[in-house]
Amino acid sequence: MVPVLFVISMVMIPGFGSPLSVISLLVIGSLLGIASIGQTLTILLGGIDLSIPAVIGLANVLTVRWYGDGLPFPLVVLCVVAIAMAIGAVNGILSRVLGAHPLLITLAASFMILGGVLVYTEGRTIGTVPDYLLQAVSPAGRTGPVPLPLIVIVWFLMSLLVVAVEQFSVPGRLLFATGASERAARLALAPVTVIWAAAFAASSACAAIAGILLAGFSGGADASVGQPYLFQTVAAVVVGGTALLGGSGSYARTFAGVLLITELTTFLIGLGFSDRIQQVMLGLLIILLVAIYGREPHVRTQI
Amino acid sequence: MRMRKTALAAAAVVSAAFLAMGARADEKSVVSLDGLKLATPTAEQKEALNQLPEALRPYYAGYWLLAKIGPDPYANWTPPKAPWKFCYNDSYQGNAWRQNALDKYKALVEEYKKKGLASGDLVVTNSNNDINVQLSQLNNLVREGCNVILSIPSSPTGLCSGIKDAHDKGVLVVTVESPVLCPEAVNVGFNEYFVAAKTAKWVADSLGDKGTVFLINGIPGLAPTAARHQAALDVLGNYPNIKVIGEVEGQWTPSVTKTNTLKFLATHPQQVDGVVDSGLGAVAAWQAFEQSGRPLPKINGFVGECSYLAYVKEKGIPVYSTSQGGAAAVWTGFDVATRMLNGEKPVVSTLLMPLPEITPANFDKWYKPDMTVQSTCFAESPDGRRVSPEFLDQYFKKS
Repeated sequence: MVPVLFVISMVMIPGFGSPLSVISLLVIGSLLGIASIGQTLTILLGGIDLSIPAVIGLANVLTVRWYGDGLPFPLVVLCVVAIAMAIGAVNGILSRVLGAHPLLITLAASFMILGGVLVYTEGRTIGTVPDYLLQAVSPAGRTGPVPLPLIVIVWFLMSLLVVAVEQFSVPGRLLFATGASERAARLALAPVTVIWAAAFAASSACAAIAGILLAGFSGGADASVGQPYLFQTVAAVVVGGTALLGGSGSYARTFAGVLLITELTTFLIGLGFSDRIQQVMLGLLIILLVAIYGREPHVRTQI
Repeated sequence: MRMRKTALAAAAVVSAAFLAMGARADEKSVVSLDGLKLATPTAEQKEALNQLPEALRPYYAGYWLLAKIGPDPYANWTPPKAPWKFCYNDSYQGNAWRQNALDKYKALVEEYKKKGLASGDLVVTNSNNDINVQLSQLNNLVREGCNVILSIPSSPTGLCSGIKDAHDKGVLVVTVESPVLCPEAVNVGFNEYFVAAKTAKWVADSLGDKGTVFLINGIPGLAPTAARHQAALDVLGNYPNIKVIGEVEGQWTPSVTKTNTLKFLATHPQQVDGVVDSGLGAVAAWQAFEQSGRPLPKINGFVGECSYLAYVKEKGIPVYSTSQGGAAAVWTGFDVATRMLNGEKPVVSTLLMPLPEITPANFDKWYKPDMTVQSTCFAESPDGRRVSPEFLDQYFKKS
């Protein structure tokens, strides 16, 4: 579907296939793609992470502020990602210990995070970002000899890593096993709480990386910069074909979902449709795809 | 007055042609901007405009897209004696604009306190954009004995019952920057339509009535978004050689503006000469052009954010922005409130004003060296005001 839509777009919209246009799409896709990694992992578990926009906002504001205060950039990144992972781990652990749906836990977390950011910054989001971060997310940027901005390469590498972990490692299998049936996984002595903590920590880490990159993308701090990424990450996962019930799917599918959504919205903008029509079309696409995927029985009943 | 003049002129020379011309001229004074045709008011809207002194009418162009004009709701009000208790019914405090507004209001009240005109410190509430919370906070402020409440309502109708109650108890409620539709409120703000028309006019003029432009819109579903959008389209309709090639949803958010501009540019390979921005999108749009390897178009500023000033300074490109600074906004509201406390009566309930303009001629007065492209601050006008006291005089009845 991705290549088909691409060819249609190229024919219908002049300039769609030019190298710079394609790179622009990849940059926009990378931001969504990186944020969607975490969403895929939590949905594979049968959970969901609603705190992604808040963590993006947190990382965005803290990065700009701390770098502006003169801390070295690598240290800033390290601290921000560490804080995010701690938040994510708490999300995962609380979801299991309290037996509450992560929908509630992560929703509560996102209120606390955004409120905390506003309290900490007193609404004054001043600061700056390094020039190389601006370059890393600029469609005109380069990575050494490669004519692609760093963010696209980071996204590709992270995608390969995530897919490899999913398919070929023990933690990956535990993730699928827990998602397919938590009870069975417990009986097989899988460390369910640890897996949840790890998946949500990874989710927050990816959101934090997206938030840091967004600081370069928009060049300033904004606690609400993550807002579009709540439904978009879920949509990317669903359009890709990962089941919301967990246990079946993969980031490779989400990767395709991200490309499809980015391509589709760009295609619609190219045809001059307003944002509202784009939302209608995206909704139709989701229903269409769910109708197709929904015909497959859940993995639990396939064994 | 004007009608009689027209009739006299018509009687003096041959009638019909002059009558028609007179009627056209009259309409022009209401709906035009330096000769450009703008939105035409209905008969009812025209009648509302006729309550205003003629000099003010142009500043009310398209007012019906964002506000209602009624008679002064405090016409029969006897102002309380000084010292007064000043209060602030704010709806959000999470950005630099709101902080500037709050700081300014506090400072103004502090000044009044020193002069013995204010009875204490400013009392502040903040509802975090929850209109129900804001309403109960407003009711509390009335109960606590505030004489004047400045409010930035988060909905055009949600506070009406509280405002009516305050009005009935003799408390003066003045909304700042977001006019409400309640008949008992005094509203002070800028005319979204008029200001957006000015910015669009600058873009069109700076292109010399030739070329392609696209629009960047605000958050869908809000009155200011619709008013600004309509103004841009109305103005550009006067320029036959300017082609509008599309619209981008920027939502007054740089990251969203940049994402959607990049998508737009990826699908519009033709040259783009200008962009009409409806707020906070200019720098993000320029960066999208830059990073797509395209020449920089002419883009207006709207709010007067520091990053806009820093960017045009850095690139040496043409500048035109209106300034919607928070401190100046709240000062205007404070001015109106204190004039009313001193017995002055506004000509109508809703006072819509133009915004100060940042142009090459006065750029150095607005620009500060510490502004950078990444600043999230807003430029405040050199004299701190939105309009001069003499200009504000026009909004009050001559006693």
